[in-house]
Amino acid sequence: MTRADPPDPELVAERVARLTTDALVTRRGYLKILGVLSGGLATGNIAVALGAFERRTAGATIETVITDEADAIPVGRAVRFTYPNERDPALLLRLDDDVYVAYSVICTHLACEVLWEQDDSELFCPCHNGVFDPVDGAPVAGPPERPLPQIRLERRGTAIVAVGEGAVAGGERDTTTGR
Amino acid sequence: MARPPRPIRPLPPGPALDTDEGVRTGLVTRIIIVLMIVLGQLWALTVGLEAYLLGHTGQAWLTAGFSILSFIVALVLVSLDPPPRARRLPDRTTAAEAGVRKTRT
Repeated sequence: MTRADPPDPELVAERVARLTTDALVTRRGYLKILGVLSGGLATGNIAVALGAFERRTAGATIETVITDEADAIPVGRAVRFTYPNERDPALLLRLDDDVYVAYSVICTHLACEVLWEQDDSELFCPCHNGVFDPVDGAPVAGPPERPLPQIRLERRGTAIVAVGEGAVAGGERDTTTGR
Repeated sequence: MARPPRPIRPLPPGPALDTDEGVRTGLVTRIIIVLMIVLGQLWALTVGLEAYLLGHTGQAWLTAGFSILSFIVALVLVSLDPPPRARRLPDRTTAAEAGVRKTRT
């Protein structure tokens, strides 16, 4: 087919028909789509209120030995471990001679991993400069508004064992005292 | 020489929804209102999720209630049916464009 040839009328008619029929969504169609979207959002909101999107690690009761030699951790230092699964990073902090605390270190802002800044004695999220209080996990600076989930600890001889995840918000400070 | 009298365009003889123009306007209006409702529900979902994660279950249920009410309003707006096309009055422009163009509604 050369440039001078006239286009095939049947082909043109077919293309015109395709262009004019496939893309047609009527105003009523748009309205129905929005109605379905509205129903989906209402359902999602009910699911949220019912607790369908609870944290994956909430309510964990698995026991994990974090360290066999708790006294070997210097005061002011942290030990990284995972709890309750290998994909859930956590930190054990020794705040004082007999005070240990542990937190899940998935930032409650946008889920980056929170780091222990020993010099400043704070839990720091490098993604958006969020800072958490090491004593209770509460957010003290930056965009995070929820505290870090605390992990309950038990002292067994010289070992420290993670025995469950505490409440995400509020709750009392859960520290493990030695001896 | 006296000028001929200006033609008088009569007002629509019935409610706006009795004409094709009125039905189209009503549909677009409803689309805009439902769109705003959906945006409000999106806001409610984010607030509800944040409230739930903070442990404020009551507030989460409040936003869920708001979202349900919004959905009911949206459902009413979606399900409103205009009069069937056969019963509608001709548009004001119909006489000039008779049979030339029909917009799907």
